[in-house]
Amino acid sequence: MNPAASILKPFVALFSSPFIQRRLLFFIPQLFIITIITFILLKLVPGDIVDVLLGGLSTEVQREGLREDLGLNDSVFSQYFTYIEGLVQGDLGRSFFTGQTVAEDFKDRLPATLELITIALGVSLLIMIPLGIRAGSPKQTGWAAKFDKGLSKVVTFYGLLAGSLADFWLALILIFIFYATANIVPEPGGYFALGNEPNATTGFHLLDSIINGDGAALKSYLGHMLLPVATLVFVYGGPILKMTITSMAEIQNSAYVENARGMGFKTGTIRRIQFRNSLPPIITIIGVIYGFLLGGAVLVERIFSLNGFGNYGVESVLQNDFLAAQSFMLVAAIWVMLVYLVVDILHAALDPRIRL
Amino acid sequence: MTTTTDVATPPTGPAAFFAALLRMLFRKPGRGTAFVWSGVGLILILTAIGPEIGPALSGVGCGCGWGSEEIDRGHALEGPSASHFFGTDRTGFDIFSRVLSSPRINLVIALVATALSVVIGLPLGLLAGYVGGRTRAATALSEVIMRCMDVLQSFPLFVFAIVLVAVIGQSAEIVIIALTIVNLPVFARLARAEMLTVREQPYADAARILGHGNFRLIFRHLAPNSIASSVATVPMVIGFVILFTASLSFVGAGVKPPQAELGGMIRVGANNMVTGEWWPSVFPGIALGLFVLIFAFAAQDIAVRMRSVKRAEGLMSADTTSA
Repeated sequence: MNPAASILKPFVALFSSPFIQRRLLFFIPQLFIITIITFILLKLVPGDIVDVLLGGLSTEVQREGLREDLGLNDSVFSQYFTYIEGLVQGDLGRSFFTGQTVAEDFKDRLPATLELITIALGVSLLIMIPLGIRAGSPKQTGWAAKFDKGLSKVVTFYGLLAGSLADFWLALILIFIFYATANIVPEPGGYFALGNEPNATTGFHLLDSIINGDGAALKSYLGHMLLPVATLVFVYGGPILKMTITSMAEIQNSAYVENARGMGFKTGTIRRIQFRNSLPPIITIIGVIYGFLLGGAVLVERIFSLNGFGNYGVESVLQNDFLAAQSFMLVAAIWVMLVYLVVDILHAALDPRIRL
Repeated sequence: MTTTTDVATPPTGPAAFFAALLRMLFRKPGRGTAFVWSGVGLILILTAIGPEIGPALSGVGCGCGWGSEEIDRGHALEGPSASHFFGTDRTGFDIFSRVLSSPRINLVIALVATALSVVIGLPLGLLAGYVGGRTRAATALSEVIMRCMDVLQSFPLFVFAIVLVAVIGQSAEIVIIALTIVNLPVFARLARAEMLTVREQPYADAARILGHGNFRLIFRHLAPNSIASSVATVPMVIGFVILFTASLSFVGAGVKPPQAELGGMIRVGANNMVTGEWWPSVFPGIALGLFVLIFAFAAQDIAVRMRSVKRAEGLMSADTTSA
């Protein structure tokens, strides 16, 4: 059998299996529960949006009129059903503060944030996985063994350190060093320097710069993203590295690895066997981080003044912008559920023993 | 017993188990271990008496002494000096004294929230993993537990926590509740995943054939072998909670100022950072990093000891490494 087919086979089996169909079946009820919980929670947030919108000098008549217009005088049930009715028709409502529809707001912010966290995750994987494999499965003899042992100590310490730093603090330090002191990166703020924005074809800034062949935009984007990506990679690459080391080291002395070593396989081959078997927890942690980052990169977004998705969510909650916050929670939840679905599928594909 | 013994087979049975347990408890502490545990001790001492000794220690240089919520008027935003070891922030708070006081808030929140999420999450996960697929009702129970965890976990954590804090009010207790809810699915998922693999192992069948009931099977054989990844994750979670608390305060949704909380302190200094006054943010940030780091090291030490317990468990079950 050719290798491509053998890799694809478990996936094909999965998609025709009841497992994935059952998971997808759970999707809709899960989303419903999420909308209900979010709705109730957000309704419980103290403070009246009407006060915020009209200010302190408004008359009671004005306030009552606005309340009526926004539908705030209806019962909570009918408000919820109005919301769901719109949702089913693809209408997320209108934000009180940006004046745009929530869908338009998302179109402005979601792609850019997705792009940022995907770049950060990609860079993390490229650096951390090879490091983790080497450190978790050191060579047994020769000078390389000494090198691997030293490397293992260094990266283990880094793994602990990375897990200990606050991303927002690291971002501030990086700004202090590379902007305020050394002045070798562009002023933090936005994705591009003013006037360098490419035509917004897709909303993904990097993609737009490349599609339009806009060299200046590409350069500006990479310069502006240097510190945010570095922050995210340093902080969120740590858990990935740690999990890779732990997971590899756990089976370092297992019978089948000993056996492979005894058979005289090359270290590379043994590491490949070992890595495949240590993948499940690594995939889990990657999924957790990817899911978290869509809303969780918010502090980095705030510090670098990136008009991102997470920041939109936080602002909408803090300002009591009800529909925006509600839709933010929903979209972020769908994202996390999709990521976890992929994680579960990968788990089942890797290890048929797991009966999901 | 029909265990085939050869030269390489380690001794098994209760004697070997207790020997391994003793070795674990009285393992000679390395230099690193001693250092780490004194660090933990120091933080715990600070948690207990930090706010009380803050004024005394911060006054050593000048005979003045500042409480953690005391303002030195006319000396705002001054760099580190003899009268203010870590300088003052833009309000005039003494940063050194505030850093000493901060464990009282940050650490208590982290430890309580993590402990609560383990206590609730781990049994849920073990239960879901053990009963899943046995009978119709059991499968349904397991599915319900895990789908609830999915719902909890699919909320965007940070904004979800902000909403919880916004609903119930800003205080340390509310932050603890929010963080417990946020972290409990982590332990449930990890415990279930391991239980699913462990319960299929030959020794589980062996124990069942020997007539062990569900209760003994779970607590004696399966649970101890299903908690390794949860234990390994505890340091990550404690660190995560300390950082998460700080992050909440950093956006102004956590512990209320002027309470000495590290994230809030970094927030106060953030704007000064770009203009070159680094001390209001840097010192609390270093303290934050050190606290988390020390707990990460301590937890790693625990994990090492856990591994020898697990080995001992293996000896007890007469289970040589399953190929």
